[in-house]
Amino acid sequence: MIPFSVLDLAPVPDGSSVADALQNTLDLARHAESWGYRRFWLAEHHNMAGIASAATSVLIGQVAAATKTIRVGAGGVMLPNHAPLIIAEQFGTLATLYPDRIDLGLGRAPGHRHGHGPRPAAGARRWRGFSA
Amino acid sequence: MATARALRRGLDDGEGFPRDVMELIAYLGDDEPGQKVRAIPGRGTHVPVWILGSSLYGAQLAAHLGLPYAFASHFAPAALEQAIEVYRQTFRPSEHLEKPHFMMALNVFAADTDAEGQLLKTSMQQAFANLRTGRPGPLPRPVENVVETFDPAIAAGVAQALACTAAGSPQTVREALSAFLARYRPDEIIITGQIHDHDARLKSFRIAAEILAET
Repeated sequence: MIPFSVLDLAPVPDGSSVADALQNTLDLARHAESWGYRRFWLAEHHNMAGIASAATSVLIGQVAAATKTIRVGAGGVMLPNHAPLIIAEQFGTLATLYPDRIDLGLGRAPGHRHGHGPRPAAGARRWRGFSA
Repeated sequence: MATARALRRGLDDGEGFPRDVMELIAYLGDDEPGQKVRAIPGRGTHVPVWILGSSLYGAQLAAHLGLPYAFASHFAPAALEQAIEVYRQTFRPSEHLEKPHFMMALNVFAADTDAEGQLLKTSMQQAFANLRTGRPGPLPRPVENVVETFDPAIAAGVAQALACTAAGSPQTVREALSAFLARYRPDEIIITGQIHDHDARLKSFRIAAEILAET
């Protein structure tokens, strides 16, 4: 069996609130754990009305607290938005509280739609989800 | 640009990425003699670091550093095949990983019937079209046959972006997932599903898990 995981952007459905979206994420994570998913990853995006996972490491902590065994991680943190030391401390804190359950995926995309990073290769536009 | 400024990002962002990744990994490792700055908490935790990407850049970096690599094929699959090849062929074993470890991302919209699965997918199609036309917003409600209302260039762009998608009945999703796994031979897969209704979203992920547990 190939390991399978969840990538969640904490979507905010039209007509629902950000509070709903965050509760949906916790609910999906609990179910995903019971259904055999190996990892539950959250992605960093900013200034997007449809995505509630901007404070990625905070949400990872909540998901880890709401579950027991599933690995929880970033898919990913957009490292150019942060000092490496801050991310090391945040994920170090998570990994200390939840040993052997935390993953750290790193991208270099802007994580927002008005990015001005280097041009991607092969025509791939990096305007959503994880990219480096 | 305003968001970049709010994030205090410089105009050269991305250039320092490899250096920052190595610095971060060092903070999560064991202390080195004479190390002045330490992550507390963080040092010695060896949190597994993955490189995520949608271009050959990430593939090359992950291979060079000997790290696991996840490709954003759920929204930017154009360079998928080439990136896998570059990553597997140029991978250098490291203290983190002996051989290449590749994760592929897929959209899944699974439901009882093909029609229902296709309907769930329309939220994501609308979200992409809205983004490409400069009108991002919350995740739209599903609308039947909504793609027919798109500008043809937008419709083509959305179809290309969502090429790595399995949508439909359990049987259809099973066949689609099997084909993706056979073609790209990932070591792991990660599934995303931007579905408007929470219960339908749960059901889609449950169906996907049942299918994948049998593979």
